[in-house]
Parts: sequence; C-alpha cells; structure tokens
Amino acid sequence: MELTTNVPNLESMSDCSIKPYDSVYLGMPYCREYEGNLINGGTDLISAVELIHEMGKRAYVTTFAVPRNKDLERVFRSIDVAAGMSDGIEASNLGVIRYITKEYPDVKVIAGGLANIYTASTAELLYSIGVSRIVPAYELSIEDIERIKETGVEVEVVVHGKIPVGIGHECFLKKFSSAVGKECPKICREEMFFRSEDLVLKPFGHATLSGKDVCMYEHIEKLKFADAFRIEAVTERIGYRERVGRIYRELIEKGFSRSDLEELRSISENGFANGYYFNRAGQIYIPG
Amino acid sequence: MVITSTEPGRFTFRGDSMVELLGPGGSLEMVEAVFRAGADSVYTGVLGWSRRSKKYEMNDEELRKAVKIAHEYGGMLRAAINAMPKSGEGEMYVDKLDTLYSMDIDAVILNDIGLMKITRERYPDLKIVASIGASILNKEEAMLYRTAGADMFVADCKMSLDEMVEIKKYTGLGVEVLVHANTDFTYLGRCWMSSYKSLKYETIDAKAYYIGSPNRGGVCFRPCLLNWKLCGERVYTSDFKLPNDMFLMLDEVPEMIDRGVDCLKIQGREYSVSLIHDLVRLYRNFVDEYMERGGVDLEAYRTELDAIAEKRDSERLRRTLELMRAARVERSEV
Repeated sequence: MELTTNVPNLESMSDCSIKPYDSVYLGMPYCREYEGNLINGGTDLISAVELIHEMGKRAYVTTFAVPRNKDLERVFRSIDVAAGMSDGIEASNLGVIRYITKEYPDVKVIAGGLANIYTASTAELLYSIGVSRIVPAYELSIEDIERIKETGVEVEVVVHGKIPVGIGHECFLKKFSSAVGKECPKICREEMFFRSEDLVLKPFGHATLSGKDVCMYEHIEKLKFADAFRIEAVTERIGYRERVGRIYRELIEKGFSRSDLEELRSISENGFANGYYFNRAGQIYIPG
Repeated sequence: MVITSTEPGRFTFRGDSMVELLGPGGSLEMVEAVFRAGADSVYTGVLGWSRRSKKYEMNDEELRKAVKIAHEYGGMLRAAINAMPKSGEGEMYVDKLDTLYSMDIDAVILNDIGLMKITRERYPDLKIVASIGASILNKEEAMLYRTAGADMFVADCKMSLDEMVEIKKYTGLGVEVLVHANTDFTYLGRCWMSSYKSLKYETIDAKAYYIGSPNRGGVCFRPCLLNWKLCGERVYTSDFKLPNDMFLMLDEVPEMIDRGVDCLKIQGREYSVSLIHDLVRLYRNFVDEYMERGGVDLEAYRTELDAIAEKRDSERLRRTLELMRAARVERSEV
C-alpha cells in the first residue's frame, strides 16, 4: 500500500513531514498564484524533487486543475519540465491528460479527483490512452470505486483530509479581502470557513473544500483494495501532514489505536466526515 | 439543405448560417408548447438518467410520445442522459440507449466521456452532445471529447465567445450556448456542495438515483443560496449568499449567430409551461427578425424579456425555498 500526500510549496516541506509517506504530490492545483507554488516549476521544484528522491520516495508533480485555453501553454511548459525529473504527473483536466499521454507516453499519468471520473467506461477509456492511476470522483461510494479498480487501472483514494466540494473559474475568497484585511496571496494563509446551518466549507483558491476532515481511519479495511491512500494536506497548516501521516503509517503497519483516532479528532477543526464512501451525504460521519 | 416546418417561413437564413433554437421538455405539455412557440428542437430527461428531479423527466412511454410530437412539428428531440451513473451501470446504459435509439430520437446529451465512446461505437449515426455537466474548459479537453464521439458541446456559462469559437475552430465541434440558465461560482459539473449537505440514495427500476446530487441525477438543494458567514479568528462578514444567478442573454445573441454558434438553448424543465412558451416565442421572434433583417430592436425585446424574467424569478424563489426545506429532511419527492 502506497501512502501519499501533497505539498503546495517548498516552504511547507520538511524531512519530518515527508517521512511517513511513500510518495508526495508537489504543487497546489487550486490556485496558480499561491506563493511558491511548485506547479510553476523553477528551482524550487528541482529542490523539492531532489529532497524527496534523497529520502527514497517518489515525487509526483501536479498541475493546475481548471485550465482554460489561455492557460494551456503555461501548463504544458510546466509539464515539459516535470516530465524529465518526476516519477509521475497528476492532472485533473482531460485536455492536460491528453497532452501528457500524447507527448510523454512513458510518464506515469495520474488522473486527479477533479477529473470527475465516475464510471468504469471512462476509466477504461483513460487507461487505454495511457493513464496509469485514477483518483475516482470524490462522490463515489466504495462499491463504485471497486468497480473502477476492476478495469485494471491503479486506484488512489483519499483516506483523510478535506476534499473539494466545488471548483470554479476564480478565487471567491479574494472578494473578501477588505473584510479580512488581507490581499491575495496572503489571504489564503488565514484559516477561514464559510458557515451556514449545519454546513462548514473551506474556501481556498478556485476551490471550495469540505470543512470537515474526511476520515476513514475506522473504516480503512474497506478500502484495502486500493493501490494508494492519500492524505489531503495541500491546504493545511504546518504539522498536519506530519501528524496525520504518522498515524496512518502506524495504522497500516501496526493496526488500530484508539488514542491515534482521538489525536486525529483533536487535529480536525470541524470534526470528521466519511465523504461519499457509504452512499450518504458527504458531511456525515459513521463511527466504525 | 432542406428544412421542413409545420409553420412555413419560420426558418430563415442569412448566408449559410442557421442557428437551432432548443427548448426544454419537462413534460409532454411543455414539449408541445415549445414547438408551438417556434423551437427547432426540444430536450427531455430520461427517467433516472438526467440532471434534474424525476418530476421533470420522462419514462419510455412519455419519451415515445415526445418524439412523435417533435417529429410532427418537423423538429428534433434530444434525450438528456447526462447524469453520472454508478460506475458499474454500463450495461444498463446500453440497454437504455438501445431503447432510445429504437424510439427514433435525434440526439443524446451525455456527460460521461466513456459512455460517449460506447454510444459512438454502437450508433455511429446518432448525434452526441457533450453536456454542460462535462464542464469542458479548453480546446484540448474538447478534442478528447471529439475523439470519443461528441459532435457538439455545451459551453460552460463562464466561457467567452472567443473561447467557444477557438474550440470550434480547433476541434470541429458544434457549439451550444445557454441563453437562459443559472451560473454560480463553481463550474457546473464540478460542484458537490448539495450532496455534501444532504443526500438520499434510492433506485428507480434498479437504476441508482441520488437525491441531492445534481451530477448523479437528483435535485440540487441549492445550499449556495443559504445565508452564509465567513469565519476565522472572528466573523469577518455575514448574511451573504454564494453566487448563483439566473441570466437571460439577449444583447449577445446577434454576435453569437454571426460568429457561428450552432444552437441556442433555453433551460427550464422545472418552470411553468406558460413561462417557457413565452420565452421560446420571444427568442424565436428575436432570432428570426435578426436573421431576416440583419438587425433587431433590442429595447423592445428587452422590455418583454424583463417581464418574463420577473415571473421566472418568482417561480425560482418558490422552488428554491421548497428545495431548502427538502434538504433538511432529504425528501424524495422533490
């Protein structure tokens, strides 16, 4: 089982935070303007890949999740750089996936969760053009994901962290700059949430994320068929990636621990959810 | 090109350009009304398979009748089968596709690129429209849909006309634009807020049906229209809604026609038949006047459209309140 996570920039990386993982996705897919974003290449990306390789781990590079025509050239040039140094490239846009599979047939291509892959037929199509791994649409239940796995493609699932519940064409948080007293890019360094009735959401760049942490710690056995477990940490504060990663590493190698579950609970600002794994509303949590 | 119509003179040409006017068919009565009002085509939801509540979808018998009505008017029917099925419902999809094809439908509206490929291989002559739910964002992505079998794509509401034209030129895909619809701060096929809040899992004839997930076939509970607060160390601001706005395009339509947009779509299966009839009639007259005369009195149409929009807003508010109430109890009948 591969345990993986994501890191937006070099500043967020440390030996300790990477240690529990087998691989790391580099870059912030929700906003290109994020400070030091590794999707933009440059010396930071080279340093990040070198650090991960020195630790004996795999380095995947992610790409901007929602590129329009005007963004394509920039995205493609970043891919040209990443293809030569990384162990794989993640893309959530089918146009970007098309480019990588066409231009770099030997590069491992990972279709991200925002690629909206719901069906076995789409998994088969993407597998046939060279996609190696799929993060199925976040809305899928366990039995749906199992069916996708049957196509032969590798499957990666989010076991912990905040999942996207929407992504759009602009940063909605920027509209609140004056109310918060911070401008882009500083504004998204604040911990902020949208709240209404029973709902809590986390706005971040072009994305809106679940306010609760999806937590499959108590249900991990049900996802054992997957090839990789992802800890979603790309928007999290320092320390989250390390603590959550350590707990899931222990879970994989030694088994369940009540105290670790409680520690996960103490880390989450708004509690747990199971996402859509059990055909229930994404914000509901079912204790194991 | 030979065009037939039960209303002689309804189709007009300027040069070789012609734009299709597509209306919603939320019921058989609405199907009849949109053609009476002058639509060239209608789209109807296949029960359990489209991005709307089952209240506004049709079973096989109703679909057959809808096709008959469409063809009697010399029009076309597109079957919307654009909700994302469960991953293992591929065979069920093929069965449904076979049934639809046997009804003599003119096109299918699809969201899932894998199902698109299956459809193209099985029925090479069937027109395939890539739904707005596919959220095609750029020309490379559009090309992959083209390769999988799409003939036309529905442009996302945030896409500029320049982008649409660029995609059309690059891929050869036809372009469909929504002239009446809603747009929010997410891309339409990339929003899961509703099902994050509330979700009820049911089946219709063994087909999965997720109430609360617009992508998977049920209704959207419109949580974006709740009253929101932005909180961090303190409450920064409160009582705002997340963007979700209706729009009716008019001023932009002539340029769209001139630059080769192939289809103007009026959304609204959930609205009243009379409202949809009036909306289709207005756009029919507008398009015809523009194409016959090369110009149009925008102000007169705008006044008429404003009156329709007022009625639409009232119907929409009632529906939004109904959905918000339903979200709290996950009611299946919405």
